[in-house]
Amino acid sequence: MSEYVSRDRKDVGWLTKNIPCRTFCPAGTNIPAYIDAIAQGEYAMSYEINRRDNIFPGILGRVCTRPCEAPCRHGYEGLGDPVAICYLKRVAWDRGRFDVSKTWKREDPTGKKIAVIGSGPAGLACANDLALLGHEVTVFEKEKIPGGMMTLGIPKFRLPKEVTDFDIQSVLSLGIDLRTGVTLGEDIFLPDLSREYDAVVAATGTMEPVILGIPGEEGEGVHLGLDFMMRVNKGDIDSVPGRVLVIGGGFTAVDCVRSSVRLGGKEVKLIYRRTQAEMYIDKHELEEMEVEGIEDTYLVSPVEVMRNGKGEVEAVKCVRNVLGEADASGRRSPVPVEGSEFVIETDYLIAAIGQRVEKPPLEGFLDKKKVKDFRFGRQNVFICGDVRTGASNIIEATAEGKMAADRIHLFLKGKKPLKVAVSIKDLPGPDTGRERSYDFIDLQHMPTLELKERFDMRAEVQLGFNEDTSLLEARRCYLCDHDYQIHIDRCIYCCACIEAMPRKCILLASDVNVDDDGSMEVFEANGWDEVAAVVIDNIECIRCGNCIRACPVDCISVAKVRPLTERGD
Amino acid sequence: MPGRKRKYVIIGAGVAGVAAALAIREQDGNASVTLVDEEADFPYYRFLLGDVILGTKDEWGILIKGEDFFDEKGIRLRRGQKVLKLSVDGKYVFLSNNERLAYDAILISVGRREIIPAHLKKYSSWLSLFSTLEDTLKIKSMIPRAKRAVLRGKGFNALELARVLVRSGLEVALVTPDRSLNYPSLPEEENEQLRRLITDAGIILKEGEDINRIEKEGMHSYRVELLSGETIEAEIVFASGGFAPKVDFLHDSGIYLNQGVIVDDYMQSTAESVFAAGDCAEIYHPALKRYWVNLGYPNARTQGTVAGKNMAGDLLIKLDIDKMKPYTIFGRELYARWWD
Amino acid sequence: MKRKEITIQATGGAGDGSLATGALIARAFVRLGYYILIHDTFPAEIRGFGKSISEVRISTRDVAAKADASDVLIGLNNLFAIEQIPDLSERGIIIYDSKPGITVKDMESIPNHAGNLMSCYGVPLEYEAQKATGKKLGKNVVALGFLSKLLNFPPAEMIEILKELFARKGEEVLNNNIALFMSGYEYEDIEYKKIELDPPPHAGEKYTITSGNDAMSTGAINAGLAFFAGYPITPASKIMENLALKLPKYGGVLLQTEDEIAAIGAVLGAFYTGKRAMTATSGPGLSLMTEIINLGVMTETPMVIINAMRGGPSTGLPTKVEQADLNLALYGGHGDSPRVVLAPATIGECYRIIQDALDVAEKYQTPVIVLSDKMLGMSHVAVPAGTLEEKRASTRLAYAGRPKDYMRYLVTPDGVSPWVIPGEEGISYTATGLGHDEMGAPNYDIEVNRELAEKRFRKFTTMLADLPPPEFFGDEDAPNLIVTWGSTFGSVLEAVERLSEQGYRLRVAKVKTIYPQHEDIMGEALSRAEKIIIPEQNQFGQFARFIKGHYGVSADEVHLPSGEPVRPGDAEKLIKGRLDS
Repeated sequence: MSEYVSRDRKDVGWLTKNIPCRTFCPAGTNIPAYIDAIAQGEYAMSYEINRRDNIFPGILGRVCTRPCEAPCRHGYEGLGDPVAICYLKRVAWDRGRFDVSKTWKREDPTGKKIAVIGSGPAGLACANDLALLGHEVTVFEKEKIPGGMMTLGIPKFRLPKEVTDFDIQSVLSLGIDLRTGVTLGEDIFLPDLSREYDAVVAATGTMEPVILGIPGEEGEGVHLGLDFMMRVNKGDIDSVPGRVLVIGGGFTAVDCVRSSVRLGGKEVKLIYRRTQAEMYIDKHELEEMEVEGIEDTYLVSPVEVMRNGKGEVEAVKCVRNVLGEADASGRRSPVPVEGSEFVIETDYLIAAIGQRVEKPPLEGFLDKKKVKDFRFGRQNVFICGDVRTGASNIIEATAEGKMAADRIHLFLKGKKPLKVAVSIKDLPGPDTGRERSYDFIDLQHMPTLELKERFDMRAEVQLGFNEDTSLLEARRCYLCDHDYQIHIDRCIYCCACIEAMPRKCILLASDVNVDDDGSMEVFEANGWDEVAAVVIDNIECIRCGNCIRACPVDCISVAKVRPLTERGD
Repeated sequence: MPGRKRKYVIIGAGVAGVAAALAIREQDGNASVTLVDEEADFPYYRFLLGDVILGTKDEWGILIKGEDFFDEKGIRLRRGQKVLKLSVDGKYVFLSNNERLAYDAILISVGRREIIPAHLKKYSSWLSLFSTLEDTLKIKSMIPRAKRAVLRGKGFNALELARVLVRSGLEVALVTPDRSLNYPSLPEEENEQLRRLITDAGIILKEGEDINRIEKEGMHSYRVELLSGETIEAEIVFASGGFAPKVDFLHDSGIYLNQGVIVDDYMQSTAESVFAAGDCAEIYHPALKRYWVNLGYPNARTQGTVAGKNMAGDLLIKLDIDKMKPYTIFGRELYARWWD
Repeated sequence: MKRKEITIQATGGAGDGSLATGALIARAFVRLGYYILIHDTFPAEIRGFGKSISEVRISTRDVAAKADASDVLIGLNNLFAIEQIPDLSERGIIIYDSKPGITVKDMESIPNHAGNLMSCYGVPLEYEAQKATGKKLGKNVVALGFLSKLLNFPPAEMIEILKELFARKGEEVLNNNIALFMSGYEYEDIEYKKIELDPPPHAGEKYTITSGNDAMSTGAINAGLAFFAGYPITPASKIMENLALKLPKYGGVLLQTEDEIAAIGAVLGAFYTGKRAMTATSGPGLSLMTEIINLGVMTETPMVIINAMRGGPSTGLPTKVEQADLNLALYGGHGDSPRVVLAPATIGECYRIIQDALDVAEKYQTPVIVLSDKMLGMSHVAVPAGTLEEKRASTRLAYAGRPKDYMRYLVTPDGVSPWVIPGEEGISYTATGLGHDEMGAPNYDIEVNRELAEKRFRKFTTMLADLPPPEFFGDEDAPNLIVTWGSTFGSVLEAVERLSEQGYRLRVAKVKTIYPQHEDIMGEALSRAEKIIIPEQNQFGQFARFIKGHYGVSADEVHLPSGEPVRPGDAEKLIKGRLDS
């Protein structure tokens, strides 16, 4: 009934604490809203929410690293599995995608010209937001096709071409000028761009593969992970010999082994120097790798590439590791075990141990101390994406691009950066559109291709949810954007809600402490003489509505809390 | 800490778990010792399950200790309770019945389990398992109405099941996904002998093959389609993707896992007060030059005892890794079972 | 290993539906063809929050006693269930509510209290209930579903039973219950072991479930009961409840009076008019009735009083069991006041005994007290359909002579005088509590009164032919004779069977007619025994002292523990102690 907008830190803090998926999404996607839209059958609305918040719903709905799913409330102790947020994003794209350039209005032209170098996720996301704000954007791309890692780094069986084409075209169609085959440092130069344009954004990514640095590495037969993937995606490599050994523990390494199986590898192996838990990889990818019969070995480091008389790669000498003290990333570093050397025979070696920034073209602009809020010193040059943060992933890079766009807009137009406010709307009754039985729906599993059909580089392995499974999965979302509160002035302390609670989510409290950031600390009472209030612990609350239905005096209210983004003048 | 009873929790009441419980009891007569096992049965010897199918042993004949034994020793048994989570910081385990069980020291001795190959997981409700007594009794109850069995995998379990099913009068097809039955751990001539034993027993050996699809035919029969397109109708379908330690519940615990729980010479994991022993503990074996997960009960018992003593004492004993025979079961014993 | 019997106990708080669970389980197994015995325990307060327990013994043979221990405990409230764990057999099974998301404290954990040999099956009952229906109610039906799986009970059968029970409550209620049942039946997230029972002894035959109270109400109606007056008291209230529903349909009248004195007065008045009338009460009520019972003896007006014994003295333990009202029933009169005292020993016997009581009361024109107890009155068993259908008609000795010759208290050789109902033309008489002559007129002549007193006592010999004689079980030539009465018979008989297996030679006498005594039969049995043991559930040895005094024999008293129905194991231990001494 009543709806009001709050800028109170406590209310904004409530949002951060209570909607973990949105908080953990680097791009701040309004996840409950788009899942609710799917549950209502409003696929286009769901697509639009995604398209606005994270730019590439089709791509991210397939290959996102899903930082949102681990903290999902549905995965709490005793509650089952997190909601398949990523796959639902794909549902929004599969069923609701449309050409936003026809309906979205760009703001009035500002007359400012911006050059974006690099058409990867960061560059395109930045271009997207700037174009919508009315700026004139030109994107420069070194390769013949746009998309960066999205098109060249990821194999087609994970991310089909029509998906990348659609999502990239969706951005470009906002009136962005794309120039491909233009290399920074050869065809264009930063100082020139800086003069010609009102602002320049360098989002060139991390395109230089890291080498192993072991004897025998130079020469034929040793490939670098990213190089290998790009050449496969460009069609330059269409087969591999029988025995393939991939070294590494990231997405690229796993993409390399899975591609090798499809390109004719008979015995494909993966070795990694730490354990599975330390890999920068999604559990789903490992499972698919397992399905495809790829052998993995952990706690192994290569020490030498062994070649035969003709110089061909014959084997790799390796050593076993134990894990030592934790390094800067919090992961224990591998320490070789003395005398544990052994040999793995192979015909084809792919080293996919990471990428780093290609230094030369940006020389001089990479000094981290000088880059503040994406801006280099006091110049009109901005740096965002992997090139600023080091190799990350698509969602992080997208978020980088969006944040950089916000800063550039501030720089060009003096507009204040975006701020989050909240809209709070009281619901008239307990009906949030969900039923209690939805809480018991099991996680829907992604259907996948049968083993036999997987030997095609272009056949997408994950088949997507159908209408029924997407509805079921969408219904699983607790809709954490609902706020349940007990009005203590009307409560009669009958404890009917505590009787009805599905988990320990309602407490008899002796004291409640709400901090400035919205976090709430409840002190549980030890006896009736201490009870000062009956309190719903919003962190434990699964929004099931049992308490409202049980309350005899109607003292529990529900409000829908939505994030709003506001830009001050 | 005088006065306060120390709480020891052992997850998995197999050979290693029982050995550890006894070692702890010997060391600390006052402690509270709890054995938790996901199976509803009393602790039994897994390697005797084949005999249960053949009927040479019954369910009681394979128990590690008598049923009253644990009462006498003051060891609390919690049967049929699965551990879902271990919290290293909170020092508790979360059980499938929603209880938290606090510990001062904990041993993970959950052992291994047959894993269903990932590409056949969608058929798991139709596949027979052969890891627990319950699985075994289920298979046994299927034998009277079964004519044919398809077994996929080449591990100890697949071979053992093939042996007992053939002896129970079934027609058995053994499908091994690798191109050959060779066990790298066995000498060449023994591999050849094993292959001969298998084919001589009347088992149809299909090397370099795999199951592609399974369809349900009737109430109790299945149509198994192989990669080559060949189909076999069978009443018992078994598929093994290997034997894996049952350590899934530790994935978010922060304890270091490879295949199993990585432990040092004291059987302690990377987390303090968390130990592992038996077929789920992984140790660097210098003779093999690799990490090694045990298979089989004699080693498991030794490991359990060492772990138990170290849990109750103050890291007293190192495991004598050189005395651990890496292939006792897999090589000679398997071989011997086929002969008798 | 198959079992011959199994006892299942459902424990919960108010509203958890533990009693309904027990009833459902029993119904299901009776349908399959097993014998059952349900014993419910509930809080004494009329609207209580305490613990309710329903214990169902399922057996392949007829059972009349609670089992020594339960084999399965269904805990609908975990704290109450923990209290019940000692009741469980060594290898007992506990099915309890494991609540996802609510972590159980150490002290409240069922597996922490269970023995090593016990199996604890934590099923999230309430969670599954919500999952199935969206509501919190019905966790007992979920538990029942899981239990059915453990016991290999065919789900289709149970769904049929649910249909019978809930069809009239509407489709939604029925469907919800089926969904609840199936959610428990299909719950597979825990490891469990199935329990196998021997095949049912009377599969395909129709059996009905009844309690002693139900059997007595039906028996009385089928014996032509026309009037009931009473004041509610546990554990007899159910009889009045039943009759309130049924009696008017048969043209009868039920009167709830302000107290027991008024009730017995109304019964006296009703029977005085020739209508079969009775009341039902428990110990404290019977005390209040004693005065008017004597009036019945003196005026030779029939009346039937059911006394369902409970724990005493005074208001005592309303929901507990004891056999301690025998002295009051036998000796509660003033003056030389004999009364018939009957005591059924099993629930199945309740039906016949109330009919016998009404027949004898009417025929011999004297009060009859039927001693039932909480165990007989409120426990349930299955009896073959048809057992509860026998009908009885009036047994009044009519008068065929001329009206002017009629004498209400005519002295006859058998002691029974013809009885004409007031209102018949030309006949009138006085019925008074004062000493009177054959016409009924007050008379204080010693001779006259002695003659009439002797006549009243003579009836008690005559009526023996119409009263159930003692029954004997076991070894006919055994040196040891165990004499039992009332509800403890079932446990004593089981105890004796066990002792016989151990080599003891024992014979059991079951006495249903306590007064008057079938002296020839009992006398012979007692005289042949070398050792007589009389177990009963009171501290006085009330029955033992009656028998000892009556027959002049010596006998060992065994005072069975009171409160709960006697378990065979306890009876076995105590009797064995006597045998070995």
